[in-house]
Amino acid sequence: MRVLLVDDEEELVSTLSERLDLRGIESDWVTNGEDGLRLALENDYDWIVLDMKMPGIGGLETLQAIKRRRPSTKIIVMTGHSSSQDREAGLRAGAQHYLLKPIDVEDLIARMHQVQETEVS
Amino acid sequence: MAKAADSSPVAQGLRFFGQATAGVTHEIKNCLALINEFNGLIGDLIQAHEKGHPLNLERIKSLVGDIKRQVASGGEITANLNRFAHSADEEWDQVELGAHLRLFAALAQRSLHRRGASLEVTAGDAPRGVRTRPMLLLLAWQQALEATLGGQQGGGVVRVRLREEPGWAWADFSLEGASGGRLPGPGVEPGLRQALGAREEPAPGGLSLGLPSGQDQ
Repeated sequence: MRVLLVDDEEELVSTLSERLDLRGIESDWVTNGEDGLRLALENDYDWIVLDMKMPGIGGLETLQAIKRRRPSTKIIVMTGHSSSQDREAGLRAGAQHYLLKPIDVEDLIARMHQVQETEVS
Repeated sequence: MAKAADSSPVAQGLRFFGQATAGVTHEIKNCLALINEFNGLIGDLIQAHEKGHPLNLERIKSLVGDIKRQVASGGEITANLNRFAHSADEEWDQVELGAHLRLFAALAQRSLHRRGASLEVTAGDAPRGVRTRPMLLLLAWQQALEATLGGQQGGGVVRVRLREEPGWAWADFSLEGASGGRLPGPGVEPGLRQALGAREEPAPGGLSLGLPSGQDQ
């Protein structure tokens, strides 16, 4: 499995990437929507994990841009807010799941596997 | 028909209170998310070691340091939130403008970061104390900041410099390193200026907000 992590909090994405690596999941990480969109279009990721609040082009705009060009891309949105506004917007724009920060890495992996198993069956 | 928002200084102050609190709690949550990841990675490394992988002690030491740093950062953020909450204790109070502006800068940090901008306060040598309405003054800083940024989203640094004139303490807001900027029209709403007894003047790249000093209110 290959994952792209997009979050403006560099320490968060780099640590999450290290944790995924320890579980045998290959991941790249970037800290803004522009780089996220570029990498998403240049590579074939199984999953993109995207923060909703970022400077520049935000998570929702990035999600919409990726979905416009690669509708089959699977995306999980992360949000730091308990408000339902961001997660509903993310799901409406085509995200498969949302996670509230702080995220549980096992929960993240479980959700990825859950969707992939559904697709296989 | 939608009801127009209450534009009284008190209602604006409450809205600002809500927005600033939301921003600060987001920052606290961010600290917790980072501590969660660092702690999780320490657990992962220990678990890997238990399965026979060599223990990367230097990485664990570095993560312990990262956690300590985030705890300190969270403590600073909550201290600012506490100072902010207490700014509503007294309608009028003696305020040291440099400290008040630095508190405002800390509260505005998250929303400015999302816009690629930042705020720097130059308080000068001597503290400038004025008797004012602390909560409304935070709202005035917010409006002065927004007017200086001029609605642009392209970053830049807003510098605030404090200076003194007989009977007045001035805060000069100016935008550097960005195109666009200051929009025509008043920066701080007239009703809010009146409530603070403040004056506003245009300044290069921004505006100046003057507060009465050295007098009993």
